[in-house]
Amino acid sequence: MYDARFPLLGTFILVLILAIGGVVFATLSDGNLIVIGAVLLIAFAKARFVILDFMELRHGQRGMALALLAWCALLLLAALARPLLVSTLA
Amino acid sequence: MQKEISGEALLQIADETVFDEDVLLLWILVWSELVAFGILLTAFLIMSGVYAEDFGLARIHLNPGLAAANTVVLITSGWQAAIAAQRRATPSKARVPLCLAAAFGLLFVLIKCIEYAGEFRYSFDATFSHFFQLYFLITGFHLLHVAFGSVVLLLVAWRLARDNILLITTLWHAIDLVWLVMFPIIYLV
Repeated sequence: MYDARFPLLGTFILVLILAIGGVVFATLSDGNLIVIGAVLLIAFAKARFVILDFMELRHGQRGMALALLAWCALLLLAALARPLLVSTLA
Repeated sequence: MQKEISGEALLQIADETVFDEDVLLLWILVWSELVAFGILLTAFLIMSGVYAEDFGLARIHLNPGLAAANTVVLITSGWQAAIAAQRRATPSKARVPLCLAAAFGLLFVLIKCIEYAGEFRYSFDATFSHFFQLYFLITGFHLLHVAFGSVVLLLVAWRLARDNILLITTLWHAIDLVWLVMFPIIYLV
């Protein structure tokens, strides 16, 4: 009954917690690569919930879900590689 | 023995075929958006590596608090869009969540405009020009999608149809997805 009145509420709350957690982590990062990695991982987790639950791809169109997850993962990995490259070249 | 197919069943098959073609077109549209934003964000990452110091200084003038608030607003909008998609079998039940999704989308536009008002003056500084050119291009392009998507959500809420609800909500989630990836890249790391 609760779920019928508020469908997807659990996913919504989880994504909200992740969003707030990501911002809190980011304010503490100060260029720390581990914290940056955590922020990007949180962003990926948010995107994963949106793709699987909000876009209804958890139980169907597996290939499309994987492709969307790969798009997010590639960009976030590139974001993680940037500070690594900058610190290596500096 | 050959089975006879009624006229109604034929119409249903034809309807489903058209719907499948619509879904294919939808995914082509979604991926054209994702590729465009992917290229823009990659350009941003490359430029932030080349002009690391300038980008670091320019980023100080951004307002991550407002951007974080906008993340919450867009996630809430996405949640309402997902509810509308779940209720598409009975389109009349999707009207309220569609309107709420559009309202949160328009709130996103308002907050982003307030954010721009505080940042616009820094874009004329030569030191920050590389950063702000890309920043306004990427976030502005996304903002146009949110504004346009909000209007379409309202139109679909007005003229309810099962297929249209699925099409606009899927596109709306793609716009949401772009922001979720863009937000940490531009504001946080």
